[in-house]
Amino acid sequence: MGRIGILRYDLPWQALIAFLAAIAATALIGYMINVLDQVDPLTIDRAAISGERDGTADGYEAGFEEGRLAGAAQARAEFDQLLASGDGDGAHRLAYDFAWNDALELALDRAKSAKLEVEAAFEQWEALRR
Amino acid sequence: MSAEIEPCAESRTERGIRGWGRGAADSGGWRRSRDPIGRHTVIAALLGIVAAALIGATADPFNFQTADDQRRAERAAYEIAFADARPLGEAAGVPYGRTEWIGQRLQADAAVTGTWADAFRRGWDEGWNDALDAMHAAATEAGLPPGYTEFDVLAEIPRR
Repeated sequence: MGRIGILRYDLPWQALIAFLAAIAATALIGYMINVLDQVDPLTIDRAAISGERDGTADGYEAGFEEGRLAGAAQARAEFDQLLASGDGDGAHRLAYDFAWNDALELALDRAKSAKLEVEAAFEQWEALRR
Repeated sequence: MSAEIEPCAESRTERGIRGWGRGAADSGGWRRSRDPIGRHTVIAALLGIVAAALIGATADPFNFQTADDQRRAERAAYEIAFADARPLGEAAGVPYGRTEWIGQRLQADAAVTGTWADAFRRGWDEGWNDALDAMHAAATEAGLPPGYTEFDVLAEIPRR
């Protein structure tokens, strides 16, 4: 100890003790906070599943809205060309399938939100989609 | 009694005050100065707290799964699923938006006529009405009694 002059004094030792004590106290507090805040792996898995479900729904919805706008812009650009094409069968099929699915969506939405009975025909209606 | 053993009769504080600022041992930054809160000790303690906090935040030595991990897992799963589902939604939205715009345009503007426009209008009405009929038939085949929600809903939707 005599070789390192500063260690002759007690303040370096006090500072070292204070430093280590502070580390120990902070670690203890952190440990207690972590223990109190601990959640089991099943809860984390459930949260991940919930996030995945919400992300899928929100992502699809956001993409659908973007696509819907892009499709409207596309239709606006090619409208005159479509009218001039004279393809009556194509036009009829396009509108028929769209209106068919639109009616299904509307009826399913309304029926699912108003449904009180146990029996339902939702599966049969879903199977009618084009 | 010799002079060497006289200080022993003094209290520790008195001895410290008497010795303050004297000699090589009390000089420089490590001397025991008139510092009642112990500046060196306080600084060392603060450094210890900062060091422990930094180690805890970066190395996570306890590695407990906490509510923060739960939020992170949920957020990460959300972002991955969002990015995966977005192109699918966009792919379905383009034809929907295209046909929807044409249908609304033709319904709003009766002056637009022609083979294509007339066939589109016909399909627009027939597809809607046929779907309502098909749903009614499906509900009947499923054995639902009259007055069930499905029939009420279909009766409320206007035909084209």
